[in-house]
Amino acid sequence: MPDIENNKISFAFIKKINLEILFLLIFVGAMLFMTSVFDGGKLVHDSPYQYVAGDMFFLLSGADWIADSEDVTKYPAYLAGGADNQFPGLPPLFPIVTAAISDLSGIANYDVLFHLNILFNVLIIGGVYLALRKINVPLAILGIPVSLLIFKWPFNYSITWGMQMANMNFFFIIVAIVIFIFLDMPGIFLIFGVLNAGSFFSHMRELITFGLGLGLYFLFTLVKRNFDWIRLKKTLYSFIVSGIIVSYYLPILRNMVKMNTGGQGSIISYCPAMTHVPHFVILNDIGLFKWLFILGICIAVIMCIIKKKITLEYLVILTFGFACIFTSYFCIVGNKTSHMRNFLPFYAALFIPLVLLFNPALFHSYKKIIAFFGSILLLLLVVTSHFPEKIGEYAVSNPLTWQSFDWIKSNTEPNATVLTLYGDNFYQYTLFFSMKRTIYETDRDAYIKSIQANTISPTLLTYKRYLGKKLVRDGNSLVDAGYGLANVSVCNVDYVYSNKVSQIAPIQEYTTNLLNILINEANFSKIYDNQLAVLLKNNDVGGSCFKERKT
Amino acid sequence: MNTTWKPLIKKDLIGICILFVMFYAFWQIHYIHQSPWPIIKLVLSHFYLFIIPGYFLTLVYSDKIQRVYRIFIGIGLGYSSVSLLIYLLNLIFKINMLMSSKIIPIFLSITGILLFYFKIKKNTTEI
Repeated sequence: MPDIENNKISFAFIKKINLEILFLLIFVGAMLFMTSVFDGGKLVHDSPYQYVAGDMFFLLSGADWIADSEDVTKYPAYLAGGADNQFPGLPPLFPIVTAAISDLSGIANYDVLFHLNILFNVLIIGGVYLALRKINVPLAILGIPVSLLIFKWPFNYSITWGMQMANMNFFFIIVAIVIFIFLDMPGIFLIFGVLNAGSFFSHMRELITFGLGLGLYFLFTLVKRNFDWIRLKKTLYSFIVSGIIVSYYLPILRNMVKMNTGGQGSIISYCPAMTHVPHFVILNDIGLFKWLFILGICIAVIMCIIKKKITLEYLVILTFGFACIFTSYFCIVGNKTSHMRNFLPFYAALFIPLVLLFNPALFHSYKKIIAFFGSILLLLLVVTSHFPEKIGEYAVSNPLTWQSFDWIKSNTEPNATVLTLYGDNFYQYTLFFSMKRTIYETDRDAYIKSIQANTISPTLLTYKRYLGKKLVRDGNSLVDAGYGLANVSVCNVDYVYSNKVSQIAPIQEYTTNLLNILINEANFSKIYDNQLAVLLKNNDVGGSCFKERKT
Repeated sequence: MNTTWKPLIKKDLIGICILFVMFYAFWQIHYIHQSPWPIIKLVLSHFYLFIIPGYFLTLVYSDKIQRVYRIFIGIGLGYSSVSLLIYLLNLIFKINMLMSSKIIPIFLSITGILLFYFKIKKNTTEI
């Protein structure tokens, strides 16, 4: 309680409390409570919850595959359009972490996957805090409320849209930045090397950003005539460690880079923000903080130039901060820099407090108290204007779809082919890999055109679906075998899977007609259905089919 | 043998226990509508698979790196090294990851403890 002596209020009691720990506890508790909006406050769900985009299912399929796999050098047939030689383009580390936790805890892969998304964001916030703390405690404390913006749209794209691999890798990068500060210690380059190899297998783009940060750091020490030979030597040692671990992929690394750049092979190119794409982040998305952020960067640049002696921690964190901002606007290995842009709140957490701490004397006496109240203020700002919002509980999948998938996995042949017909929620093909069967997906536009043309045909335009690109490794090269778009007769597949209910009446009528024709005029029989989905079995694969007709 | 490591280990173990309790408590706050048992299983899995091995692997730097930074680096190293080893065992020996994932954390933890033990032994001999 405040002591009132001689009509003066004393806040000396505040100094006795460890304000830093108190603040952190309140902050983490509040943050985790706020973010429960993403999963409805539940860990266990009946089916993938708040999976908004196909990439979430893409990674889920990866985790399912890794859990079953005894050979990670190729995909199983159901992820490869029935082929048995497809090179897995999916970085394996995030699926491994997901599958391992799921296996040990007994919690479904899809729930663990979503949980990890939030966990890695929280760990990144913790890492940013610890890194900033190496410079200045108030800077760190003021920084973390800003980083809460990561849970607000469009930044929360990182949680619900399938940025898990990038999240995990950014966490590795933050850990690597912290290790870099200690890199002069004996043997720690081994840990640095393992972390960087982990980054390679998680999501390579952030690793390249990290490399740029390293380059900036060494360049800066060179310019300041205080070149850091020790760290350069240890960094090179760590590259040898990483190189040994990732050696299996080194021969095809050039191919992988080239394919990810759309065949151009350019490592770095300017990528303006694509404002027409909803999830692409631009600077305006941090609202009022934008001007503070720009001012903070200016201050950081000025301090780097005018200060003769800069502490190692300060230089490391700033140079990596600059690298992150640079790669947010310049594409690294192709055009998907949205990943780096989505971490903008973390860069803001570094640069915005610099503005507030421009005059260190201001914080000399009561710096912790000021930082504490400053943080509360920032927290209030962020909470009131940037509280995370729920996007949609079961946007793509739902418990009924999931029940039908579970049934298919248990009751159909592992090498069966399934043609997916129509469902209002069938707009992300990666959803279907959870059936663990080879998928032919009906092209939605062609299907709707058939409805508009009033024709029912046994031949449908379909995609033979692959997880990611259809890649085949041939020695030391990687070949893209292209897409599998083709006309397929519905009577040539083993099963037809469809929703029998649609929000759009003409589509429901058409789909019901087609399913009835398959049962009555072809050799199909209904073997499973629930309130939403139906599965027909083809009893005469390749046999006679119905004739094309007008509806 | 030098006994200065004993209070360090004691403090570390208390730190890990506090971390475990906090890890659980915070996730219980997050999963506010969830019964405790699945969350406990989840937290135990994180600790067994990644956090404890990472902690032991960084124990060798206990006299050089501040505890909170060491634990943070250990967490990163745990997630990275365990999953890398699972992957490499599958790549080289075709071992299914669900089999190896249960053994690798123990192996890495023992490796970390041995590294720490030999370091203490070396320091004691030098004294």
